Order: sequence, then structure tokens, then C-alpha cells
Amino acid sequence: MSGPMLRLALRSLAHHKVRTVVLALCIALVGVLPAAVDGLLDLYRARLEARALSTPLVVGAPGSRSDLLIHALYYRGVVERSIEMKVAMEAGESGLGVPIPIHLEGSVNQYPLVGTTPDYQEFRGIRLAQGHHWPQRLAEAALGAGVARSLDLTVGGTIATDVHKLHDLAGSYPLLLKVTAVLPATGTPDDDAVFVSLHTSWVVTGEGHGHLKIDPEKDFHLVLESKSNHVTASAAVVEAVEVTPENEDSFHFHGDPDQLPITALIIDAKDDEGATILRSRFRRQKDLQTIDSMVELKELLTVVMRAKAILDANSMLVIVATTLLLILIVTLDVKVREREVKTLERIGAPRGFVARLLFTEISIVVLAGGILSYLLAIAAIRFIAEGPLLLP
Amino acid sequence: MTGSSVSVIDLVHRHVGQQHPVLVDKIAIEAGEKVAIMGPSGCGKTTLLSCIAGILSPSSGEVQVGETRIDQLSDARRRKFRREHIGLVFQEFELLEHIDVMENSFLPLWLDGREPTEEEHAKLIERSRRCGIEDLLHRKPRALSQGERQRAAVCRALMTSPSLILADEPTGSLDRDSGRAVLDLLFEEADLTGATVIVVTHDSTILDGFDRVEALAGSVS
Repeated sequence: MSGPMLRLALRSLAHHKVRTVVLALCIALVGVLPAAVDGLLDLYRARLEARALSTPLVVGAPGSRSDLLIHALYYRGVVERSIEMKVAMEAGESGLGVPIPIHLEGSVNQYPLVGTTPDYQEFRGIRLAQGHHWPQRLAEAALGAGVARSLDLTVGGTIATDVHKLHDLAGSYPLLLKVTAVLPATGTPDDDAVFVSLHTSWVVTGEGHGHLKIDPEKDFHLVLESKSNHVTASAAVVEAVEVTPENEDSFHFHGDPDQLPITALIIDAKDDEGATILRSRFRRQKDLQTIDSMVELKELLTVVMRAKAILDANSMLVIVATTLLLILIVTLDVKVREREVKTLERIGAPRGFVARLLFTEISIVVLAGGILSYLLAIAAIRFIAEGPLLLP
Repeated sequence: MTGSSVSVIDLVHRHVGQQHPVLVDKIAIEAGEKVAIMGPSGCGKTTLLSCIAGILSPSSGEVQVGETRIDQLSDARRRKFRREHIGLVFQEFELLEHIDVMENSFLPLWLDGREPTEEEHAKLIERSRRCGIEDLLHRKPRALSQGERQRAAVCRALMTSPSLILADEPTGSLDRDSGRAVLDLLFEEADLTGATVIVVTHDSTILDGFDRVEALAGSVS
């Protein structure tokens, strides 16, 4: 391609601005979806694999293995089965690794509420961005960076848990959480989760509760029924339960603590041998299932890739259709520019000059559309990547 | 640069789908001559000019420009010969609308795949001054009057200092004064370079300045 040819092509494109811009935009829009999907899939695959690699062994209730993976590693989905806390106790007593229970129920402003132990912080190597300690006391919470940014919360702030049982006549009240720590942004599901102690998460899900002190003399407007040793308060007037130094001791759990539910158990094994022994022990128990995170993730990604293949085929059809339309437009364009073509031929344009000129023009438009498509895809990937992982 | 002689002998050209072929028995034009070709509409004036320029290939007969038998050249060589040796001026100017006057003038060089030299650039400036369009070089054709457009077309035709200038009804779209001015300009430039000028016209009022007039009888019916 010579300089004069390029100049002629650029002049022509600039002269037909609207046509040039519309064509470039069409190409950009056709290309942006497959490019963005490819980029996002690569990004998510890298993130998901990193998470799975750092969490190799997970124990949970029998059932869907992919659901267990998604609950335990990515804090998504509706939990339908749980295991008992005693599984964690036994794993800890074996001395072969550190068990890290995950209790995934409840939410805060739609962000998942994750009950766990302080071992989680060490396991993930989390250095707090704000605050000094991982939540251990009742109603303390550590916010993921995304949650803190989105809700504009810092250490010292408070936030209530979401109410899921709106029609519960027994009364299901949000628990007021005190923010004691904010996690740094890591690009992992931790960014979009709220961490609390296991006790807090059990209180939120109704496994434990406290008692409000009601003085029938002063709080007569809250009293439904008053007997000599028992006062029944109106459920309608309680907006949120706040744990205070005065009522903290009243919170308690009924039943055997070993039987309290957890969603999954992450095993931070001491070594490979410890992991093998624990895996073997858990596999022998029929009411448990053990998953190798990386294996499960690869199976999950295979399904995603099959879906992507359909999308790719669709994109290919759109690209072929666009190319045919482009050919049609160029053919019509040659008709419209017949006079210009004739002039060039008459004053001595070499054979094929007009064809090369048109090809140069198309190449510039396709290149511009491609660059625009790439930039749009990058912008879309950056925008979406800042949000939560796209998991069910 | 000197002009090219032009010789046409027993020219026959049959347009596709046209019943009557164009016939020219003999035309001989000396180098440096200024010749008007006249004749009734449809007699083949433009076809003759196109055959001399190598735009059309005759069905039979001889067309010679200088030492070159145009009718025996391949299409590619005819195009090259046209770019290098022939300047063309058309009735409808045929300037490209998306480039300015200067770029239109450089078009024959660009078609050759090269940029103008400094000398060629200076020549264009000088020529545009003589043509009275020096201040219009950076304007697009649509911003020019008809007369200015034809002067710009003359500038383009002379860009390669051709030995033969062919003009097809160059005054056809202009008023009398503008037409005369364009012809005078062509003649002036031809006098400067010694180029041969062949002008096809049906307007007998513009014949001043031509060395002679060739009359075409017409096609066979």
C-alpha cells in the first residue's frame, strides 16, 4: 500500500463521514460481544482457579458437588443441606490439619453473610485494611472491600442483616452488626462478603437468640401480655436486635453445640499425607462428601465452555452475516462512486488500482472497528470485573 | 518537452451493442499543432479522442502518438502511456470531490504511486498562478465555480507536462467568456511546453487560436 493510496483512501473515508462511522460502529458492535466474553471468561477462569487452588479440600453434605464448591469457595447459591459442627471438631482433634467451618446463610444488603472462625484469616493470608481483629464476638463483622465501598461503611459503622422470613409470626428480626474490620480488595469472592463469627451467623439464622429486657411499668406500650414470671412483647415494634453489653449474656443456643449447622468445612491440611488421611476418613462417612476443588471446578468450567461454544457459533454467524452485508455495501458503494471510478480509469489509473483503493478503505474501516471493538471489550471487562463474580 | 504527432488511419471502433461503427479514414496531426475536431453529434468525436488516449481500443485501424502505436499496446501499457504522456480535460471537469484542487492536480502522480517532487510542486504553484486559481488550491471542487473547476482540471491535465493534450468539449459546461479563458489557458500552456493540443468541440465560435479544424463526417449507417 503506497502513501498516495493511503491518503486517497483516508480522504474518501473522511468525505463520507457518516458512512465510515456507521460501518466502523457496526464492526465494533459485532466484535465486542465475543471479545468481551472471551476476556471475561479468561479472567473468571483465572480467578476461579486461583481460589480453587488455594482451597483444595472441602467437606460438605452429600448432594450436588458443584453446589458445595460454589457455596464453600464463592459464597453463592441457596444452601439446602448442611453438616454438623462436630465434623469440624473431629477434624481438629485429629491434628492432621486446621478445619475452617463455613456457615453460609443470611445476608446483609444482599451480600452473603459468612460465619467462620478466625482461622479463615490466617488460611487466606488476609491482612486487614481497616480494624485490628477478625470478628470473634457476637454481632461483630468484617466487611469485604467491595461491600465496604458499595455501602460506604468503615470500622465503627453498623449495618443490619436482611430479614428473610417476613411472615414468621414468631418474629424474625434483623441483627445489628458492628463493623470491626474491613478486608483489602483481593479480586476474590471475599470482596463481596460479610464475615462474622459462627455464633453470630447462627443467631442470624435462628439457631440461637437473646432476650430483650422489658420493664412492664416503663415499656407498657410494648407489652402484649404480662404474667408474674413472664412478659410477652409485641413483635411489631422491634426494628432490629442490637447486641449490647447488657444483653450479650442473654444470647444462647438450645441443644447440642456439636449439632449446630455449617455449610461446609475447608480443610487446611498440615501436609499432603494429612490431607490424604482426612480425605479418606471423610469419604467413609455416608453423610458427608469430600470434593477436590480443582477437579470440581474444571467440570463446572467444561459446562460453561459448552455454553460458550454455542455463543461462539452464534457470534460466527453474526460475523458472517455482517461480512456479507459489508460486501453488499461495498458493491453498492462502487455503483454510487461510478463517476469517481471512471475518472480514475480515464486519467490512467493502473489496473486494479480502484480495487486496491476500495480494499484499503475497507481495511481502514475494519481496523478502526476492530480497535474500537477491542477498546469497548476492555472497558466492559474492566467494568464487569469490578463487580461480583458471575455465579448463580 | 516537445509535442507528439498523432496519426489515425482507417480507424474502426464498434461499441458493444451499437449498430453503427465509428469510422475515421485518416487524420494526421503534427507535433505542437492545435487542432479542433468538429462534427455532428454522434459522429464519433469522443470515441476518436478516447482511442487516441488509449481509453478505448479500436476494433481495427492504426492509432499512433509520437513513435508509439497505441492500438498495439496492452491495456496496462496504454494506461501507463496515458499517465505519462497525455493530459486529459473533460466537459464535466471530472475532479474528485473528496480531495482539494492541489490533490486533484497531483492525482496523475499518485496514480503512478509517487508523491510530487519539489520541482513539480513549484511548477503547480506557478501554473495555478497563471490559471488564476492560486488561492483555491486547498479548496474542494464543490466550493469552486464552473470556470474555476475547469481551470483546476487543466492544471491536473498539465501536471505531468504531457506531450499531448486532449480536451473533450472543454467549454461545453461554461459560459462563452469562461470557455474562451480556458482555451486561452490551454493554448498558453501548450505554447510554453510545445505540447500538441486536440480539442473536440461542436461550438464553431471558439475556433480562434486553432491551427486547423478536422471535420468528422460521422459513422456508417
